[in-house]
Amino acid sequence: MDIIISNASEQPIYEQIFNQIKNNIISGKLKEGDALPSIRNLAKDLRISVITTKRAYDELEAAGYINTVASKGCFVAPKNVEVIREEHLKEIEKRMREISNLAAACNLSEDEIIEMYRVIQREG
Amino acid sequence: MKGLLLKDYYTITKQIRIYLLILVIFAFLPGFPAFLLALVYSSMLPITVIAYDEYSKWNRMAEMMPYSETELVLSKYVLGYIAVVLIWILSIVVQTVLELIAGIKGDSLTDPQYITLICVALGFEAVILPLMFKLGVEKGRIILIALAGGVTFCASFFGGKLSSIKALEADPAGVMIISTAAAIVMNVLSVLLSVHLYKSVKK
Amino acid sequence: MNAIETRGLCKTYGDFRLENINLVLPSGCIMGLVGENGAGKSTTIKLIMNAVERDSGEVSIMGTDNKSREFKKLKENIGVVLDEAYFPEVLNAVNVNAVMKSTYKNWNEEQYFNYIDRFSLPRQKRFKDYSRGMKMKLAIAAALSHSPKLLILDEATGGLDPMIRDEILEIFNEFTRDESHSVLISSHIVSDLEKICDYIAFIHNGNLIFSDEKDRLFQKYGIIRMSKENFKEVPQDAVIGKKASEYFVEALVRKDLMPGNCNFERAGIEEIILFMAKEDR
Repeated sequence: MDIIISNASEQPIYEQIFNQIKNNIISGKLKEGDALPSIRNLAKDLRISVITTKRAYDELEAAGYINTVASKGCFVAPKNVEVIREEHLKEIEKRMREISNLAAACNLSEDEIIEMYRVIQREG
Repeated sequence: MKGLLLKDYYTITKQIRIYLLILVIFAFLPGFPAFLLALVYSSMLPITVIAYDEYSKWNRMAEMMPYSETELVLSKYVLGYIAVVLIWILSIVVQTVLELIAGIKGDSLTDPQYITLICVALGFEAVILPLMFKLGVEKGRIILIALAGGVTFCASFFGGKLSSIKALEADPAGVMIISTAAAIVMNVLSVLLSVHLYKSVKK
Repeated sequence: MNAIETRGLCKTYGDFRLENINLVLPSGCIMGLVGENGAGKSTTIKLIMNAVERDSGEVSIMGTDNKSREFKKLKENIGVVLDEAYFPEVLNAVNVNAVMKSTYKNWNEEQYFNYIDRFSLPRQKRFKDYSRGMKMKLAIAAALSHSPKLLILDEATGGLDPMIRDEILEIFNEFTRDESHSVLISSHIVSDLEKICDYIAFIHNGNLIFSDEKDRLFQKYGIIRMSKENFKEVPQDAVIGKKASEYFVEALVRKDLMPGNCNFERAGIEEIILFMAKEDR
C-alpha cells in the first residue's frame, strides 16, 4: 500500500491518511480482513505524529471502513454495500460536474452529451 | 556509589598521577614525618577530586543519575577514608618489608599514637569537607589555608603546655579511644552538615 | 499514563521567573520544547528532574512525584543528555562504560559499544580530546544504553552537523516505536523538532505560550499575505502577529476566525513562534 503524505498540502495530514487508506479499500487493494499497520508503526514510518495517525484510524473506524480488535490491531471491515455505493455515487456526481463544466466550455447541448454517453454504452 | 568512586579513581589515577606518586613515596619512607605527610596528603585527596568535579561540572550530570544527594556527598568522604586506610596499610607493609630485608626498625604503625594520628586526619576531613561543599574548592581552600595557619600558630605557641600532648605521652591508649570516638562523631555530624549544605547550594 | 506531567510549576532565580508551566507528555510521544536561549527551557528540564528545587507546583514522572523517595529509583528509567556532556576530561569511552555499569542496574554494555561504533567514537581517546559533536554523541550513547523509558534531551543536538542530527533524530523516532517510551527534547533548532515531535511546547520569557499537538497547530494557524488596504478587512481578533513592509502585510492568523474564502499559506512552527514572540515584545 502506498501512502504519500504532503506537508505542503492544505489538507490536514489525518485527512490525507484517511482518504488514502479509504481509497485503497474502495479500490480493493486492501481486502476484507487485511491487517492495517499498527498506528505507532505507521506514524513512525511516515515520520508523522502518533496522535494524527490515531485520529485518521478513528475516523476510518467511525466511517465503517475498518474494525479495531483489542490488542490485535486494525483490520479492513467487511465491505458495506451501502457505504461503497454511496461513495461511488459521490464519485459519479463529481465527474459529471466536470463533464458539465467541460461541456459548457465547448457549447455542447444536453442532448449531445446524452448521445455521446449512448455511443459509449453501445461500444461496450 | 561504586560508580561515583570508580569515576573518582579514574580522575585520581589519570589526572593526578604525580600527586599519587608523592603519596606512595612518603609511604615508602619510614618514620614519623613521612607518615604524617602521607596522611595529610591522602586526607586532602577528596578536595582535589571535588576540584576536578567542579571543573568538569560533573555533578550536573550526576544529579540526573540514580544517585541521591547523600550519595554524592558521602562518596567524597568514603574516598578520603579509603585513601587514609590504604596509605596506612601501605606504610605498614613497606615498614615490615624494610625491617625484614634491611633490618631497619621503625615505630610500629599500629601503636596507639599512630591510630590517634589517623583519627586526627579523619577529623581534619570532617572539618574541611563541609567547607568545600558550601563554598566550593576555590574559596574553601583559602579558608583551609587560614585555618591550617591558625592551628599551626596555636600549636607552636601553646604546644608544650597542652595537656593533651602530655596525656598522649602518659596514656596513649586512652587518648586513642577518645580520639577515635571524636573522629567518628565529627564525621557523622560532618556528613549530615555537608548534605544539608550541598542541598542548600543546589537550590 | 503520562510520562511527564507538570502543574503550575514556578521557579524564581534572581531576576528570572519561570511561571506556571503546565506540560503533559503522554507516554509514547515526543514533545519538543522550543524557545530562545534563556527562555527557561533548561530550568524547566532541571525542575522536571528535581535537580533544582521548585518554588511551587507539581511534577509527576511516570506517575511518581519527583520529590518522593521513589524518584531516585525511577531515574534508572530516565536517560538525560544535557547541553554539554560533563564527563571528567580524562575518561575515555571505556571508562565511561565502567562508571555507568556501576551506576545503572540495567546498563547494557553491548548496546553501548554498538552505539560507540555506530557513532565512530574512538574508544581510547580521552574525553577532553573529543570534538563537541563527539562529546554529545558519547552522552547520547550513554543515555540510550540503560534501557530508559523516558529520554530527556536539553539542546542535545546543538553543534552537531545536519547528517548526524538527522541520524540521531531517527534514533529518537525509532525509540518511540515502543508505546512505553517517551522523549522530551529541547532545542532552538525548530526544524529538527518539527520533524519528529508529536507535541510542541513554546516557552518565552519564562512563560508557557502554548503546548499543543503539532498537527493541530498547523491546522489552527496560517499565514496570509496581502496589501495594507485588504488587511484592514481582516478581523483583528484572528491576527496573532503581523509584519508590515512597504508593499504588503504578512500575518499569522487563526484560520477558524477568518472568513471562509481566504487562502492560507502553511505556517511552520518556526513562523508560529516568531510571530507570537514578536507580538509579545
